[in-house]
Amino acid sequence: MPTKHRETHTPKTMNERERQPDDAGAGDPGCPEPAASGVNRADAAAFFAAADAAIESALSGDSARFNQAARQEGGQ
Amino acid sequence: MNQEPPPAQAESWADSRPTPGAAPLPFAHVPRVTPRPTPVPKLCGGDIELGNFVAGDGIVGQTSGRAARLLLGAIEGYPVGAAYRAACGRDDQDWGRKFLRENGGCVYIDLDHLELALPEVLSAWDHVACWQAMLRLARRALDRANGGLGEDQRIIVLVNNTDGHGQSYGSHLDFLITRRAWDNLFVRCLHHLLFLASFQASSLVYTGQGKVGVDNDLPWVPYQVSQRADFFEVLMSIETTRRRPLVNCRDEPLCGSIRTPVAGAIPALDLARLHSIFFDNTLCQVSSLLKVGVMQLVLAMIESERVNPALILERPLEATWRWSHDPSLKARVRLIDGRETTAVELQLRFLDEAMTCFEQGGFDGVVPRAGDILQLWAETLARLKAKDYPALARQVDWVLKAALLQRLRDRQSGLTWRAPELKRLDLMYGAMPEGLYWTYDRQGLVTRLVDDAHIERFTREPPEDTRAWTRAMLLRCAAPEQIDSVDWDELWFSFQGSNGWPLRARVSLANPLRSSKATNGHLFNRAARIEEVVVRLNEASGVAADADQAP
Repeated sequence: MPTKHRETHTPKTMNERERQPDDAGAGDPGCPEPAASGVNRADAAAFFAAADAAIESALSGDSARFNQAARQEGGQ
Repeated sequence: MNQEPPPAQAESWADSRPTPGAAPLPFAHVPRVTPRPTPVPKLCGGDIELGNFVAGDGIVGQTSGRAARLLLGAIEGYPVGAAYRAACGRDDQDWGRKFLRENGGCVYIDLDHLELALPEVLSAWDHVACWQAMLRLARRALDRANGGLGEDQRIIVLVNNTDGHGQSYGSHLDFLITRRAWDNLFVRCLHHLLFLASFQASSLVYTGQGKVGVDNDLPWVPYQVSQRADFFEVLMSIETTRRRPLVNCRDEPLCGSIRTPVAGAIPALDLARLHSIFFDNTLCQVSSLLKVGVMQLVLAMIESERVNPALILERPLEATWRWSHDPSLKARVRLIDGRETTAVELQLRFLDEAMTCFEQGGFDGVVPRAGDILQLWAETLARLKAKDYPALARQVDWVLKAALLQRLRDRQSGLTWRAPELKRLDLMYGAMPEGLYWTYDRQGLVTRLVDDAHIERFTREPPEDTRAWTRAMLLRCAAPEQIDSVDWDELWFSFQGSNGWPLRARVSLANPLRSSKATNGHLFNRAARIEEVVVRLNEASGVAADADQAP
């Protein structure tokens, strides 16, 4: 938790922030590609394995029909 | 982890009840003079609509109404308003709220969506736990309801805010603020409203769930940060189902009358409720905590009139669309001073303002664990600034969802962003029972801020530091036939009076900071009957017993 003297708070001024690199890494529509950088290969492998299992489960059957069935009444 | 009890400031507001029998103030015709701006504890609640439908063989047409009724029917609770049902002959599921004796929250159907209303809490950590607990109750109801359907049909619950067909349903947050702050926002100080709208617009970078495509006839983008952004059409209004505003001005305090008290009415307490309809349904606990916790901080700043006009956007509505449609986080929009900013840069400036307020003790007694919220906020913004997506995918929904969608595109080359598979994956992200988020949660691949015991406790018990505790205890004391009506700030009961005549009696919970376990716990005991408890509560609150008795 930060102290009341900003010991753990990152940059103090906008100028300092603006000097930091603002890398892109944007994919097709500008989407992030979280595990693509391979910062932690074990994490990335677990991430992709879970993604593959979830995708398999979520996409069984006819997607267009599923999307049509999901139509809702308007809400708040 | 639970929170410390609210400190001294909460106590002073908790004691701000009217003095029974006090003479009316002289010069009652003079417009109210508001007190100096002292924030109240940022108590918060929420009401969350879910998408629901029946999928399977032989299903024809829209099924959301049927799904919502099956789900509500599988949740135990007290449907209220039996008299209305008798008069109208309608199914009580169409309108009745089921208040839960377990945690003091409630469940009902709103426009064919199952809606979960959270019990009031003081801490953002408790809010996250309550939110997850209410989803857990909905999941259990879903399993029961699906158990009653044939094998070829099943109900799907969508934890999102749009169905991909142009319909949106809300995820509302409610915050206790002073009446003075309310008046400033909507009547007196336009820059307070714009400050809040500018904060909200830029907060999408950590509160968005992400969405494939667009709604509301806006120009196509393959993927955007927010579920709700496209549905906001005006800056401020009372609407929630059409022409939705960035800042909702519905003045329904749920803490006593907002009008001059008349005989029998609960006196006004100079308290109000900010009803925010801006945010997405978030699943990731970091997103959920920041959504609530940072709003607590910003509202406390607005309430104490620490509003820096330099942070106001020239066009908050357009900024909301622009930033939502730019997952690269590069889009710059103009502030009123003519300079341009990204959403992350603007959030960093809000963070600076909040740090200054923190250093000066501005959140003391108002926002539990303000320092921890600030730390998490600063860390998240630093990661967004650095585009540290591997870390953010564990914490922020729109980043995690984007990663899953990209994984599917990598596996199935040739899938365009308009492919039905991508839209389905978008819908299924937070869905129950098989949503992608839940797979990640089970495998420990997303960051947890509240542990499982904390969540499970709120499926069975109310928060102890707000009026939700007394509400739940009253519902436990009374037999169902003794409960006439339940609302957030009052309950009515029917029972036989001491003279044998039928009696209706009210318990006021007008001040949401009172009626905690610490305040009222001693008034309940295992053997107490509802008649006794009602009398004790009314005596303890200093309010004369408020009852209707038959002749």
